Amino acid sequence: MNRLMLRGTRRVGSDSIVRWAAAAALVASVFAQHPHRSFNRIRRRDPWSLVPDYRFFAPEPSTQDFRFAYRTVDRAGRLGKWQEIDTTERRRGYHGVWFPNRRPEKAVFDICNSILLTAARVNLADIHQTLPYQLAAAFTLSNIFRESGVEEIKAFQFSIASVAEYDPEDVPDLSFVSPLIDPLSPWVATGQ
Amino acid sequence: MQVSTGLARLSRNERTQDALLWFVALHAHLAYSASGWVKLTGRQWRSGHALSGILRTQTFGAERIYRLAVRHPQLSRCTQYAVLGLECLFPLVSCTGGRLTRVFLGATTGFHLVTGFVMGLGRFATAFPAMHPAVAYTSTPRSHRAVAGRDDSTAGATALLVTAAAVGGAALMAYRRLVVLRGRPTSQPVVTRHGNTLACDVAGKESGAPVVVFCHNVASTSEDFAWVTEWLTSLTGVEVVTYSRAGYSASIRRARGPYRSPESVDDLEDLVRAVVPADRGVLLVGHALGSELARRAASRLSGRLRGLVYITPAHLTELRSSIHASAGNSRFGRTLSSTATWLRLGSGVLLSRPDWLGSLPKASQRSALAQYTDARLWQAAQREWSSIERELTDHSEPVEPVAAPALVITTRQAVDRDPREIPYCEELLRGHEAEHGNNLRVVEGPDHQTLLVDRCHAYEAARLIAQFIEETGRRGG
Repeated sequence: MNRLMLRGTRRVGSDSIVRWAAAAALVASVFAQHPHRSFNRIRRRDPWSLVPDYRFFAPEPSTQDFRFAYRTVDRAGRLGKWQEIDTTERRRGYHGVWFPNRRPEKAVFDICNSILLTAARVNLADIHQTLPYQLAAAFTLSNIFRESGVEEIKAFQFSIASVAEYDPEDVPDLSFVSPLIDPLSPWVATGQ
Repeated sequence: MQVSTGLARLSRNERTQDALLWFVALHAHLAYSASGWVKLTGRQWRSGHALSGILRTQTFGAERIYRLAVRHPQLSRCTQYAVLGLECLFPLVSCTGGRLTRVFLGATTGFHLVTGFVMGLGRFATAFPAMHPAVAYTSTPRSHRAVAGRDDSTAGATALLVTAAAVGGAALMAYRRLVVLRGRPTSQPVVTRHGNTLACDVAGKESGAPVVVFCHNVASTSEDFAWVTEWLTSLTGVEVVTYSRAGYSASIRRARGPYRSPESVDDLEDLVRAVVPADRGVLLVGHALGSELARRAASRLSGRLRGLVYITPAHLTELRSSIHASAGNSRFGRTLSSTATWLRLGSGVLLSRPDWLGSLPKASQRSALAQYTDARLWQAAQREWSSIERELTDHSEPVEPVAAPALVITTRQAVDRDPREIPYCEELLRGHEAEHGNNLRVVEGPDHQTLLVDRCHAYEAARLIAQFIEETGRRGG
């Protein structure tokens, strides 16, 4: 009797577990590729970004670059000139195999994009609380520190302009200008 | 992918190895086909302008190649459509018994090498072809001795789970549609002159105060007023009426012919006449575009109208200029249209729950979520928005003066964002009888949505409405 029961019971092997786990992960990946970004229920439950996003340049590709610039206010209250932080490199033949600058370039691109998206839905008075803005402020501050030091600076601000660099007919558009930021407490609203 | 192939290498069980290799191969199929099909939903990809648009950027383009694309637009379009074809049709590798494997794997490798050098995406040139051996292994016919005894059950398991998830999602959406059509148990139907059946709710006690009738925004629900009506009925005892316009929630549109916004104005007038006793005064409260419908209905209720409250009113002048600028193809209109389309196609279960929904009273959240993820709300909104776009484009209707006082409640955010907010609100107030006093109130903190759905801000809005009722009652004698 016992032998018969044992014979009738199929053992769940490691291959079965792997197969169904793989199938479940694939299902999550399939339904996470929805073309409309509001249909992102699966991604919102994936804080570690385990589900891959295959929607490269889709549905609408970005057709503009971002120019990131900053200016400072010295202790005497004088406003400096806008200085561009050039993060993008012109394409070189070796970029196909060696392109370490791609990471910071892409990071700045994504942060600029996130700031513009955030600014469209968040009150400007509260934007200093958002992560992309804080990253951009920290990035600007590190550049100021490297270039001139922060001792003589009372405040700074950064701006984002959109332009297609290789299209001579495209006119740059100033998309975002931050409020003045105190270098000693860059994540606190100045109200200016 | 590295984890899967690494585990396959470590495993001594051939079936486990096959499951992991199938996992990698199916991901390759998904990566190419999803990338291609999602691109096809974009206007730039369909029109053939996407490739040249990408190439003109320094981030992903190359100046010489961009110039070449500008000089030879046909070549640029052909290249773009070839890439789309390659990506969309990649699953043919498995469907044709491996006959096209070499063609597709060769073409995609070439594609990755080109994008690696032209777009600076060298990582793609190693990451994607690394999946190709698994694709070659799984697409080889089982009759081939190199793959004899291969276990293909992972493909079947995946297909089964995808089907089960799709069926489960469809069942959930059908249930949500039932929830939407059933409406609230307290709702009563009102049939209007157009044959539309409106689901409306009356709450509060009869008193001498005017009955407050709420008109919701486009692409919104009457549940948005839950906190405001709760405060008004429990603390002031006024009687309130909330309703859903035709096509929203349990309200059914039966009118024949194309929709025009006067239909909603007629419906609102009929609803007031049916629900509010003839000897009672009425106060209309509209949110955003709902306030414009309320304003138009006001002149028809002039004998009974005690006042009109605009909550974050829509700027018609600004709307008109933005509609002109977008040639009737506004961003909001496109969002409504695409959301309605995807919901009609059954993907409502994937629509993420909006953050503001959790701020509503618990009792309203289920109904609001069901409406938000159901195509009906978006179709109704699309219909209303198209009509508004047409009307604002076709003619500029003069704003008729309203013989009743008004209160405008707006938010500090709206004022900070747009310097025209205050002048516009003042212009609205000038269209009202001033002898009983017109008011403009700015609430600090919320945006136009959280003003109603966040409890604290909604209570503040309700307090302002109650104050307005009291003031107008006092001045009116």
